[in-house]
Amino acid sequence: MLDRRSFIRSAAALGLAHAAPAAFAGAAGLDRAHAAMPGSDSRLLGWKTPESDRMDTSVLDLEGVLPDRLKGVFRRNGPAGHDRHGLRYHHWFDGDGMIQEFRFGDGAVSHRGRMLRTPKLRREDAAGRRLYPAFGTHVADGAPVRGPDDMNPANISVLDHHGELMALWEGGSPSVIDRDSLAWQEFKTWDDSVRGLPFTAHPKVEADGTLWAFGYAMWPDPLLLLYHVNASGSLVKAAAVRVEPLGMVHDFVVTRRSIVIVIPPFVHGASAGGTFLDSHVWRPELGSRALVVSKDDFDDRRWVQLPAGFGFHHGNGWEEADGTIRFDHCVAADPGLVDDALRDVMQGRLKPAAPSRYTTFVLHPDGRADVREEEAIAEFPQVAPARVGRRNRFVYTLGGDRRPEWVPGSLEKRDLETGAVDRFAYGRDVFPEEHVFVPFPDGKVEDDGWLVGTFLAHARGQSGISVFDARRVSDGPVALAWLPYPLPLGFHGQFSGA
Amino acid sequence: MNRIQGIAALAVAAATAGPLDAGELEIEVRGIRSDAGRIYVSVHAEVENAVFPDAAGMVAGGWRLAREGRQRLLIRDLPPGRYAVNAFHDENGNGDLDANILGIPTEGYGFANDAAGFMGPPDFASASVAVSDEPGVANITLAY
Repeated sequence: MLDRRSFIRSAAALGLAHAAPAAFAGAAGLDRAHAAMPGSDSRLLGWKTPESDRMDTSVLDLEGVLPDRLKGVFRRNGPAGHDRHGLRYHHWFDGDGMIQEFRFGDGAVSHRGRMLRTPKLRREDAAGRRLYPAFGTHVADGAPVRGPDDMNPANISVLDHHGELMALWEGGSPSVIDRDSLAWQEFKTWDDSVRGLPFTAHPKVEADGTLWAFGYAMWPDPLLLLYHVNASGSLVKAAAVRVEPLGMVHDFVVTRRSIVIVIPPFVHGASAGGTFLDSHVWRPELGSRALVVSKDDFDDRRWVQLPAGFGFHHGNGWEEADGTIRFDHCVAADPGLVDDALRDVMQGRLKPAAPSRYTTFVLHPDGRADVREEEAIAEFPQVAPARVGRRNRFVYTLGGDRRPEWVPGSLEKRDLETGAVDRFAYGRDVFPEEHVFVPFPDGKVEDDGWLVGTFLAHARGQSGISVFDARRVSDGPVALAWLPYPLPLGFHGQFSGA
Repeated sequence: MNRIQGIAALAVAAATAGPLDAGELEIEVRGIRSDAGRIYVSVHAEVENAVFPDAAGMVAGGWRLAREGRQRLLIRDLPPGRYAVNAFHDENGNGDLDANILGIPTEGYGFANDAAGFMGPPDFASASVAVSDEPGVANITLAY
């Protein structure tokens, strides 16, 4: 076993370090990748459907030394069932969800992947064809859609809350997943009053277990839903707020007193015969709008006008004593990524699109808003879980340093107080995915923790998982573990400590 | 989907047609998942100013105790014509079709011909059957 210092040297030799971002891969890995994908661009590997609905590796090949104190399970979700029954979905967001689970303990990592057999997928498999409209794919002569969960692919994130493991979509209910088998069990019903309703893939869980969430629905009316769930998993209150016009909204912000939902001007309009995505129209003249809602009283709401932009993810937000709200958002100039590039990639074309840039917002109590956009490309922002809704100093993002710009290439730690960025570049042939913050068991300061995240070394044809010391990102991973196979690129995950 | 709540307004059988009308409608509700509560059905005529399944179009209805599997009802004395039919399973026995805060039913429901709309009720035409000298037949599979 290598010690950490010699591992860092070997990582540098492999091109892991920022100074030598050539490739993860040795020649053997490249040969293997080319053998697996003759004649194709290996960068597209992450959008292929896995060969099996199940994957298992009991011990991953390890480089470096896993921290003894890092114990627990890291689970991720993302679209994996892109091709089935002779149809390749037209958009990255369409595919059936697959849980990727990495178990850390005793100095080793294991992996298992399980396609989620949702009611949608089971009915489609029984019929031998696709039956339900997807986010970006029209399905002709499909089955009736009575409610959102009829087409729920459970493919965006996971949530481990009050002992219950869930897979999250955003257009319908969470799905309860069996912790032992990772089998799909049932749709989560917080309460009959919100049964079957859309629930975000980015609920915010505060340090005491209180959960806040929202949802968006276009039927029967354009509505934002608000959820307040206590640490015991019981619904405290919920509300539906009519918002017109409204479009897809992926993430939101909580502060000590408020919920903030930024609604981009990519709005759902009348459309015949198209997909849910097709029915969205980019109307920058509307600007973006922030809905600020009191956590105590969902009827206490105000609107703040913002410049137009399209963003998916927030890192965090907080509220000052005088009511000033500060938050960040990864914002692109337009929705070209979701509207075009993420369709093109399913057809084997990696095309440019406006990338998301790290942007900070200040909502003043008098209704004014300040917006500051940085040059830096940033996506999949994460903060220490204990900082959710409270002032954070650090945010961890994926940065872009390649073409097309929207494909992440580096892990970046931003110090919001000094502006410093601590960066690790993964290298040309590696696509990093979201890295989550896992606090040290005895952590004292905000960045006392690890960053755990997956990557796809596409030229080598393998996925892996990295562990960084969050205090020193540019040192590179203290450990990384290789899977013997590639995983489809996914979205979001959660680390559940042992 | 609020309109589906309209069928919750029905009470017990209330045939409104006169004694000379001889039309019959045989309704079979399938896919009942438990013996709890009651199965309600309602029969609607196409009327102006009411969009199916608004209660305003209802001309007859009835209920049976729920029985896992299927239940049948016979509606008599309907004038010849087309009728849309829906059913729901009032599983908790509160006399209502429960719905979430958006009005989407949270108890089992269904429509004749197993018609379904997109994220809402089907239209009258697809959920309707003909009643004439011959009895009409409406089959409804509940979805929960």
